Amino acid sequence: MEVALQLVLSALAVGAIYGSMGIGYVVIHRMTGMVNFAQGDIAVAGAFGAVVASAVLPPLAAIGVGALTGAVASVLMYHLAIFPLRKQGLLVQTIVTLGVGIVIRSILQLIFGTGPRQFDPITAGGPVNVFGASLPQQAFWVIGIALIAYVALALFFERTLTGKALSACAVNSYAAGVVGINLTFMATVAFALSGAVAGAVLATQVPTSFITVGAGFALGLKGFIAAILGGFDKIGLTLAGGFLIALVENVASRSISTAHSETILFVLLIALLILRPQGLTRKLVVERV
Amino acid sequence: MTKMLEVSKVNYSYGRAQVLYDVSFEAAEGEIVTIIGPNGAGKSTLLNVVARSHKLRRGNIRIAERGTEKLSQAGIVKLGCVLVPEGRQVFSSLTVHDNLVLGGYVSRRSGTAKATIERVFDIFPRLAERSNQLAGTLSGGEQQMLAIGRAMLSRPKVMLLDEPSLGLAPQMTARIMEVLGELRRESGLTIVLVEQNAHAALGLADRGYLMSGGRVLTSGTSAELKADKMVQQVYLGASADPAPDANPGLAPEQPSTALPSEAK
Ligand SMILES: Nc1ncnc2c1ncn2[C@@H]1O[C@H](COP(=O)(O)OP(=O)(O)O)[C@@H](O)[C@H]1O
Ligand SMILES: [Mg+2]
Repeated sequence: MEVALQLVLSALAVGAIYGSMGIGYVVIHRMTGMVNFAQGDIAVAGAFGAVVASAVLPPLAAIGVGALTGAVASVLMYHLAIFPLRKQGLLVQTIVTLGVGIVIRSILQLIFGTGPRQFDPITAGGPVNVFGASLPQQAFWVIGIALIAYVALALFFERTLTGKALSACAVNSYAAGVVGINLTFMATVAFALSGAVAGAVLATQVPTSFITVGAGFALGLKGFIAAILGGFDKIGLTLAGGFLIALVENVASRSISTAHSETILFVLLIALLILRPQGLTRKLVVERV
Repeated sequence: MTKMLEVSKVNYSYGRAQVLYDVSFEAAEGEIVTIIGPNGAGKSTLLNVVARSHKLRRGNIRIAERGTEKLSQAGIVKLGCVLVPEGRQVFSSLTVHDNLVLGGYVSRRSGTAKATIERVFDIFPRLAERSNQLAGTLSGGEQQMLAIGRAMLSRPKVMLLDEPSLGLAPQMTARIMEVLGELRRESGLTIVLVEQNAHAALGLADRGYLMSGGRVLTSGTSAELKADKMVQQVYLGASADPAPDANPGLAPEQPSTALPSEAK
C-alpha cells in the first residue's frame, strides 16, 4: 500500500514535468498546426536560465527567470527558424525544430559543459510524509506550479479575447486574418507561453534532482507522448497524460527493469495509438488549420 | 458625396497566372454597389485584395479617402473596411457568441461590443437563440447571418460581401438582401456585393460592375445593367427567365454549389 502510494506520489511530480512539456506542444500546435520537437531543449534552456539567476536571486525568483528564458528561447526560435519558412508547410517547419533542438543543446553545452547543475529549493526542510510515503517539499512546488500554469492557460483560452483569438487562428486561420487577428503576433504569443510553462516547471524540478544540458531530448519525447494523449488539443488531458506516463515509467522500472522502462513506455504508446488514435480525448481532431 | 472606396488599376496574379487586369471600381458613402460576373471572373480575388487577405502588388486602393498601401489586414479592418468572405468562413468549433466577439477583435477597447452584439441579435433573432451553439452546427443561412454579424462587430464603414446568397434558399437570400438594405439605411453603410446571382444583386444595388476574365467589362446603374446586351450575353444569357425585371431580388434558380443548402 505504502509502496503503491509512493509510486503514485513521485509520478505526480515527474508527471507534472512531462505534462507541462506536453502543454507546450499543444499550445503551439493549437495555434500553428506544427509540432515543436525543440520543446524539451527550450525547457532545459529555461532551467539553465534559472540556474544562472539562482546565483543572485532567491529560488522562486530564479524560477521566474527560468520561465522568461524559456519564453525568449521559444520566441527567438519562432522568428529565426520557423517564420522564415512559413511558406514551406508544416512538415518542413516541424523537421526544422529537431535541428533547432540540437543547436540549443550544443549552445548550452558550450556555455555550461556536461556536468549536472542544481540550486536551492524554494522551501528548506526534509521530505513531507503522506500516509507513510514521502515526497520532497520541492516536488509539491513542481506539482503546484504545473497546476497554476494549467489553470492560468485554461482561463486564458476560455476567458480572454486574446486567448479566443489564439484558438480562432487554429480553427480557421483565413477567417482569423479577415477579422483582423495578426497571425504572426498570435504565433509569438503561443511560442512564448509554451516556452514559459515548460521552462518554469522544469526549473522548479532542478533543486530536487539536477539538470544536465542533454536532458531535453528525452523530456521532449515524453512531453510529445503526453500531448498525443491529450489529442494535441486538450491541455487538461495532456497534463493527466503526463501523470499517466510517469506512473507507467515508475511501475515498469520497479516491477520489470529501470533500463527498459522507456522501451515499455513506447510499446504501450504504439499499442494505444493503434487502439485509440484520439488519445484520451473523446474524438480525433482531424486536420486543423 | 464622399468616395468610401476607390479601387484603381488593381492587378493580381497567383504565381504566374494573372487573374486581375487593371480592375477599377468605386463606391460612394451609403451606396450599394454590386460586382457580378461568372465563376472564375476574379471577383473573390478582387475582394481579398481590397481586404488584404491577398497582397496588393499593383494598383491603388483608397478607403474613406485615405491611402492603404502601408496597411496590414488588421489595419484595413481598423480603417472600417471588412470582408464577409465567400463560403461564410465562420469559426466552426467556437460558439456563435465567441464568433461575434472575435469580430470585434480590432476594436476591443472601444467597449461597444455588447451593444453591437445586441443589435446583431435584434436583426437576426435566430442567432440570439443559438448564442451558445457551435457555429459549425448552424444551417447555411444561419452561418451567413453569423458571418454578417461578425463583420458588423468591427463597426465598419464599408462591408464587402462575397456571394452571400451561395447555396441559400430563395427566401433566405431575400432576407439577407433585405438586411443589407436596412444596414445601409440605418447606419449609412457602404456595401460592395459580389454575386453570381445577378437578379438578387441588381434588385438591391444602386449601381453595378460586370466582370469577366479578370476585367471589368462594363458598369452602370442597376437598371442599365439589367438591360445591357453584354450583361445578358455574358452572364444572364443562359438564364431561362425571360424578364428578370419581373422578379427583382429573387433568384429564379440556385447557383450550383458545393456548400450545403439551407435546410427547410
Ligand atoms: N488560390 C488560388 N491559386 C491559384 N489560382 C486561383 C486561386 N484562387 C483563384 N484562382 C483562379 O483565379 C481566377 C479567379 O478566381 P476567383 O477570384 O475565385 O473568381 P470568382 O470569385 O469570380 O469566381 C480563377 O481562374 C481561379 O481558378
Ligand atoms: Mg468567388
